[in-house]
Amino acid sequence: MADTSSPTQLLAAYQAGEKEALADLFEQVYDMLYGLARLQRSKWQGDYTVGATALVNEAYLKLIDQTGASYRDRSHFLAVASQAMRHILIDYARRRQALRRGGDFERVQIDELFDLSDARVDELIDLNDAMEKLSELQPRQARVVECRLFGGMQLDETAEALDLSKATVKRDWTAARALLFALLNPES
Amino acid sequence: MTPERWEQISRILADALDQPVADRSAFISEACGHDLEMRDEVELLLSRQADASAFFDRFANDLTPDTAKRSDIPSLSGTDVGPYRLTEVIGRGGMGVVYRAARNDGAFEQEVALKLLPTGVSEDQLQRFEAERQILAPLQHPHIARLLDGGFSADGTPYFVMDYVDGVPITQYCDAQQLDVRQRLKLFGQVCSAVQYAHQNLVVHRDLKPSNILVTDDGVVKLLDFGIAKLLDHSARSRPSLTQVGARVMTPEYASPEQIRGDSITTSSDVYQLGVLLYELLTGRRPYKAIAIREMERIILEEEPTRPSTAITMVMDATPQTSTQTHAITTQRLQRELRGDLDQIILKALSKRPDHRYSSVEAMADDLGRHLQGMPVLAQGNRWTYVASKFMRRHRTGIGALALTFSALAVGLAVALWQGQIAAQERDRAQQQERLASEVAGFMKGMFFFFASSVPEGTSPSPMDVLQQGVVRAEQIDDDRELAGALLHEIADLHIWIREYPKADELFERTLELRQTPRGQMAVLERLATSARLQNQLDRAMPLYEQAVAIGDEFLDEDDLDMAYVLNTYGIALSDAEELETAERIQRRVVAIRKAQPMDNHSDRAQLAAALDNLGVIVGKSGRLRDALSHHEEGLAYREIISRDVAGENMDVAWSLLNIMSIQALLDEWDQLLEHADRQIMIADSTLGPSHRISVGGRRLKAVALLEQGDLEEARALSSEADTNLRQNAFADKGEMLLLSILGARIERESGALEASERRLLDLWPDLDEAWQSEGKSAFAGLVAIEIGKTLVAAGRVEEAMQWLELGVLIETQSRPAGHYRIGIAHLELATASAKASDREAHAQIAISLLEPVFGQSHPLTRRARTLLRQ
Repeated sequence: MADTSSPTQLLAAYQAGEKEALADLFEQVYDMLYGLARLQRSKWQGDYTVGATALVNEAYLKLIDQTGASYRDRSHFLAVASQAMRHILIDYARRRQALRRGGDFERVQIDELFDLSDARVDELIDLNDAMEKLSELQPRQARVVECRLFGGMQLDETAEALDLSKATVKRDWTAARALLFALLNPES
Repeated sequence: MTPERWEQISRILADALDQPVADRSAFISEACGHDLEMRDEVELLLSRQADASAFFDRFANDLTPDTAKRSDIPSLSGTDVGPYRLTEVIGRGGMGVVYRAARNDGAFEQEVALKLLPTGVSEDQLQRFEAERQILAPLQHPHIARLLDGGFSADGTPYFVMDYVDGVPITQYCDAQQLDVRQRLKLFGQVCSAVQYAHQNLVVHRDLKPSNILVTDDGVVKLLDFGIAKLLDHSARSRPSLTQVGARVMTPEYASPEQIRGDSITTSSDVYQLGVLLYELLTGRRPYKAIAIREMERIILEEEPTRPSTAITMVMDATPQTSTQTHAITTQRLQRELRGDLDQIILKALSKRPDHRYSSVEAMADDLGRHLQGMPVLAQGNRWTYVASKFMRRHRTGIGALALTFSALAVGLAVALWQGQIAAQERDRAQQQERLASEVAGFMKGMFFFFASSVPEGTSPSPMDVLQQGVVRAEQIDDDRELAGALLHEIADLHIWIREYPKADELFERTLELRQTPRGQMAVLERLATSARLQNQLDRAMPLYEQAVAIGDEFLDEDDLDMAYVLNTYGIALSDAEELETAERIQRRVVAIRKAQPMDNHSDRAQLAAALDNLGVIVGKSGRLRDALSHHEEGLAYREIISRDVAGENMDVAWSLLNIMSIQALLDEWDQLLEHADRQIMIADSTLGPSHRISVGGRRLKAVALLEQGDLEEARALSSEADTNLRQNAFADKGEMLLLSILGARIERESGALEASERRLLDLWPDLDEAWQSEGKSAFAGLVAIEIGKTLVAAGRVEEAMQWLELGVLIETQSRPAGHYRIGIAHLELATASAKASDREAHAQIAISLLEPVFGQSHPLTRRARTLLRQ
């Protein structure tokens, strides 16, 4: 009964090996993040851009019952949320791009979720493509980038979430960045 | 590349980075062995490692501001900071996390926003933080979120407490509410008033942008984080470039050029940022296209922004919605509204150089206010054509009450506050006038002193030189526009007095720029109009008078005294233009306003008397002589009251008496005229001198009276005395000169010197003939033609006389309003000379119909006409 399960229950089920729980959790987290992003956009106080990663943390605080939640629960959740955030950002970037390329802008209205420049929007999409290529070579490295970049997760959180050693995460993070950067900025 | 190969490269690359820099190449060569291709690839990736790190740091920074990135710091929601309990995170950023919070000691129920700064600031920075906080605390303004408190949490983290504002960014509010341009400007006015207030308190915002400017559900603007940017900037000072600092402290799109250059930040930066904000509010876009930060910096420093009215027509690529959707109007309409003033106002605020921008937020708000009122804006400069077109447009469209939101002195407060504001302004105005009057007087005195001491001894400065000096000094005053305007106005006015009209015009046009209140604009336009009138350019004067009056009608009370002043000179101009009906209506308004005054001082009385006199002249020209006489007599009565209190003679009394005498002459009241005459001449001689036209006029009218009473010799003597006197006057009045000549010719005729009479009149004729033929009318040509006719009748040359008299009738008919007694007199003289009974009767009949209503049955002219009819 995934529909009626709370994110806390779904997270527990996923950690216990129920793979289908992940899809439901992902969906709930996606919706939560999207809602948070909209909320923050429309009602945020202060002079700062709301960071995507701040939302990931915020989603954890809102979705997961923290009484009894472990560090490991949090890391696992953040990893899911990082992935969801990546999708939200890319979906958003694609809508922005479509709009800019003369899409049907008279009717299409999108939520201005993030305070990102056009250049950054383009970079996001290029980065996503590059990450797809990286996934083909080494999916683990792409997951590390997802956690670090879209979830703002620390080395040890990432290691915990992905069941890796800190040394591996560190090495993956270094190599992945080098490759992605090379893909995004080919030497002329 | 295969996954296996990449796995190898990954490991070698990461391990190489763990080696000391000097050993890395050797390590890679050894690890790759004979696979030179792999070695090159690793070397390449390694060589770009620093760039890759920087790229991802920047990327992460956009998605993950500093504090949030340190997600090992758990949210502090639910914990206490100082006397506050944090409720939830409402914003996170590089410079701290903002929480919603409330007092935990129950002292107040109020919800607040609490901003926790990042830890790790130095002692020095903390002290500065405390000092700044004390500067910001007193800012109290309805549109500024107050800084309520601040301090350090238990672990030494600095925090601020501000009003919690439940609102959305101003851009979003405008779009959601689909506000039109005026409504957006009104909201922007609130922003200006807040920023202006802060500037008066020496606080610069430095980071004005939509996310710092929230609007609550009930449409009230609240500015957040006043002065905070500066405070935060201090702690970020160690950072070298904007690319790093900027992303944290400022949104690059809103940064002013001086902020990018790292120059000192003044109120002018806020003016710039307000320009960016207004641009975005009205077009839905920012002035510069957002691309890479470094490119952004270059663009802000070097490129001119696209005109707002053009920007809205370009394909939307930076905003999700077209501005026309959010404004709920068509692009064409929006473009029309933006083109011109708003384009110029925004571009002026966005000038690269601070000294090219508005000198203050107030100046910018004033300009927007003028735009809303349909008045000329400063940003457009002072091209006369522009100013004129502005007036045309203003009076075509009319202005809503909304325009008041931006009136000159107080900007952008809620409309409800306005009535009170205006009342207060009016109260202040009296004091302000007094201050200006005394400063102007001091300046004027100083002007002469200053100049006198700078010219060589033994020479005397000309009035023009002194005034020129005054202009130069007045224009050096740049900190008090009102005073500079008042001074220039007075100096320009003096140029009218000394008849230097073109110079006066030039100065008044400059004054127009300085005196921007409706009252000031009205006063200056009136002077420009009067100058034109005195240059006999009624065509130019009339539209200026109309503009001045229209401003007064729009913005001032009906009984405003400055308005009365303008209407008075307008009335004179209308009278000069022979628009007697309008002139009379206007002048009656002036009399009504003046009469409403308490009349407990001589100034009130003198003004009323002048208005009554002017009304009398207009009514008299319209032919209603009794009515005119009563106005003049009423005016005289007020002047007599003044005379009793003032030592010496009052020249105004001489004017009044002359007006009265000239009507008495027409009314055949010669005894009454002679009762006034000697006193009039005495007062005029002693106050204005015998060569003044008022003195000459008195003598002339006395001579006419004597002539009528048969005292030919006295009349001749007095007439020639007047003539001699008038010739002493370099600026002799042409009308008076003509009237004197006509009198001379009459006296000659009466004494039988017919040739002299004819010659004298014919000498006058060519000029008058030319004037009436070109103008189509003339005040004097008809009189002279009739006098020639009468002299010729006396000489028995009746046929010639008839031609002149018929011409006289023609000229008078064309020159006077319908029903005027002068036309009647012309017909009477023609009837008198007519040999044919039918002609005589016809003209006599017309004469009676015109003369009787004005003069009554017993007047000699009416009686003469009746007699002719009975023959």
